[in-house]
Amino acid sequence: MIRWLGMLASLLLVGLVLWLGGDLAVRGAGGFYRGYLLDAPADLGRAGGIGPLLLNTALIVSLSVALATLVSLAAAVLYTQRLPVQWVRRALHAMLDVGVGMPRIVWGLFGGVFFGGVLGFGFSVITGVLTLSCLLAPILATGFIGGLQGVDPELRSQCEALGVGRWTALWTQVIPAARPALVASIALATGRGFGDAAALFFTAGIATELPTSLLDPAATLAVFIFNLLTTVPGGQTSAYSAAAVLFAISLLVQVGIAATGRREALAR
Amino acid sequence: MFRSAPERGRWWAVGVAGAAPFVAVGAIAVFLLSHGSRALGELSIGTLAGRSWLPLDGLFGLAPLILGTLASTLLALTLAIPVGLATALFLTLHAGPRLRTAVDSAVAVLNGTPSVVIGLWGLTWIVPLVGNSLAAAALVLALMITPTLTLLAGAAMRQVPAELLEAVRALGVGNDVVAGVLMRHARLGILGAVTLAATRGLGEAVAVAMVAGNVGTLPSLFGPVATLTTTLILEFDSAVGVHRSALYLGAALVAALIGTVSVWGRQLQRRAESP
Amino acid sequence: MIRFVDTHRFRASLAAVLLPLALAAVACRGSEAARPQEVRISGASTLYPILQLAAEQLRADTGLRVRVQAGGSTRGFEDTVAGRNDLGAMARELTPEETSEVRKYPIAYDGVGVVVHRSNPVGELSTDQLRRIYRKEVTRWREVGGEDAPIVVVSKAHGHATLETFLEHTGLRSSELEVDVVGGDNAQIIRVVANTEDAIGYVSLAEVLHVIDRGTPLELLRLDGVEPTPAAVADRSYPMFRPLYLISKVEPSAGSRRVLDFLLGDGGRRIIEQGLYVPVGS
Repeated sequence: MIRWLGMLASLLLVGLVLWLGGDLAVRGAGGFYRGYLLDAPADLGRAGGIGPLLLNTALIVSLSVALATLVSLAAAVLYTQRLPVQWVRRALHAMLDVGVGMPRIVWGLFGGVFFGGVLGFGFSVITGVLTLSCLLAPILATGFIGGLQGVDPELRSQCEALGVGRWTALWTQVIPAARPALVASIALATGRGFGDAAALFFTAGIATELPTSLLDPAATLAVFIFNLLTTVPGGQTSAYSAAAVLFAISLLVQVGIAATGRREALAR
Repeated sequence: MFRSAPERGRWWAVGVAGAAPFVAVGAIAVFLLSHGSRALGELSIGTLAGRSWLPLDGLFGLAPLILGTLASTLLALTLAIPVGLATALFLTLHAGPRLRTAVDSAVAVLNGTPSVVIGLWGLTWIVPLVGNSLAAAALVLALMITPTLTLLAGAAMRQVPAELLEAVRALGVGNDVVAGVLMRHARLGILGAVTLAATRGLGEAVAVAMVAGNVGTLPSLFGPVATLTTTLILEFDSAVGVHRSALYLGAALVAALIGTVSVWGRQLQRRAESP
Repeated sequence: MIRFVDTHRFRASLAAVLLPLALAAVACRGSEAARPQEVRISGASTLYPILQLAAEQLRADTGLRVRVQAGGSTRGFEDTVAGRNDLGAMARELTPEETSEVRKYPIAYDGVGVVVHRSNPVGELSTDQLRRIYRKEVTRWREVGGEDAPIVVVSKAHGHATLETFLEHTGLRSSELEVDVVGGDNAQIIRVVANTEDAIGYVSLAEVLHVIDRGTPLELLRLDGVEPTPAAVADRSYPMFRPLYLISKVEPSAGSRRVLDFLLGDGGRRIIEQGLYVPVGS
């Protein structure tokens, strides 16, 4: 019974994803041409390609995921290794949950005021990266904590028995052992980064050219799509084309991550 | 406790970096409250608890928006939980690694699709069927939170030792019993997944705003609905003064709702932990 | 039982995380070099198409760099007051307190057009009929000369200038409105009406003319017998329109002055008219 229901549910989900992707590709087909992936947009994005936006997306998402991974890993280590007090842990975990659920537009408004205004970075790659990192950090930290908690506690006591210091044991044994869970969290956060428009719209801005420095504004593909759909009259077809590309990239990245994870699992 | 001075220095570095995510969340809470304080100061509790949200007429009743937020999230969860759990069960128990990779990747792509694109899809395909309504909002929201639920519940189920399931199967019981055992052993992770999906639902704005109708009256299934976050996204653009402040107050309320759900979810998890 | 892990591979992945951050830090320092003069504009997204096209023209003609960002009228105002931009873009009237803090420069006007789906046979409404529709005193298209179908009333979210223009013209208070769908930006209203055969809405005239041109199934209604066109807004025979402003906190800098002069001159007029807005001089 459950087997068939489960199969049905899986089919439903995969069907919806294919429907969404197909819909984007069909409606956006008019915008594709040779060089679409390389050219700069023209006429406010209603014509031309998406070359600079692909690079901007890669830049902003990779920097944000890297920065957020760093602080989140530290947070997860702190949480799992150094916080014995029960109520502190509960309060901190609730804080992370609030961070995960916080509407993205609120992160955007906050980042625009704090990083853009108070720190004076204006609309820029830096403002965008810092804001997106703030948004991704709670997601990553939650996942990392789960991953570290899932590591066999015996591993640590064995390390101790062998005379390996706590620090060394953590970084050379515990964290690598939790790697599959960490990678899964990073995959989830990377997806979020690709898809985010509301936070970056107010921070990294909507400029469609390549930034010459990190203090220049730069739109990611998702922001470009958002802008075409909300501010540029007649931008809908181009938005569909760009969304189809974003969908395809997202699919490639996720399949890549899943395949790597599977290979690692098989290698064990 | 520490072996050496350098090791202490390293732990300090971890402490400083690791504080960052918590500081960020704390900072955003301060940000929301400081921007929302003007509304708290100038509007009476009676006004804020009122049944009408009509800023131009000085009515800032948050009640319909809170109800809209809760109603859309609960409906979305009732759709997402069965689909997400059934998918996760199927992938864990009956699917080979290839099929699992394929379905997981497809689900993860949904997670990475911009909200505005999902909203547009909902406007094109869902709204013609059910109108700009609570039902449309719930369907679109379900589409957005099912990936989180499926992926996290799946991960939890895969941590249940395969030997245990083999032993249950060896008793000659049906698939449904095996699934039941799996669910029971993964219940902590499943509860966590549902909690996280609920918090995401409470905070989602862009996609919902495109299909919900956004009228701030008391919600009904096929009538329009406005939530705290859709109202923020539709109105903050040119809102000034106390109106703007009330919008921030609404966002602070979303954060408080999420915090409550999260604490509640963890409490359930703890109760589930002790058999 | 316990499997110890190859630490080299782990170090490699740690390096993969740290490397982009290090590169970013270097790039950040490299950018301290002198930056050419530029004009920063932020604010209402309604003005984005005009301003961005003007920016590209100015860049090509004179080399002046103008950076245009969105974020909404209120963000534009806040940025202007805080000195975070050189010019703010406003798609709404300023409040009295706001007016006392900045200088404002009218750039263009934008009509507010009443739209229905193209399949709707109704081509004209009077202001009174419009008022009754938005109060739900008239609920079926038949009552205003259309088919026997319920009217789906679409309105704009509070805070938007289009709503205020509409209320001002019809004399309605916002609490009197009985609507089925509320949208935020013009594009959303356009999508809802284009998707709903029985809907009525009101939107930025420039935007709706643009999308009708591109085949979106919408039709603009005559209001009290007047065809909504940029020309009718220009000679004031069409009554619903709103001003679009640029604002500045201090006397505009040389760069900002060039942007304003360009927008108010022939080059700007051409861009504004091509965008289907109405230049202020007309």
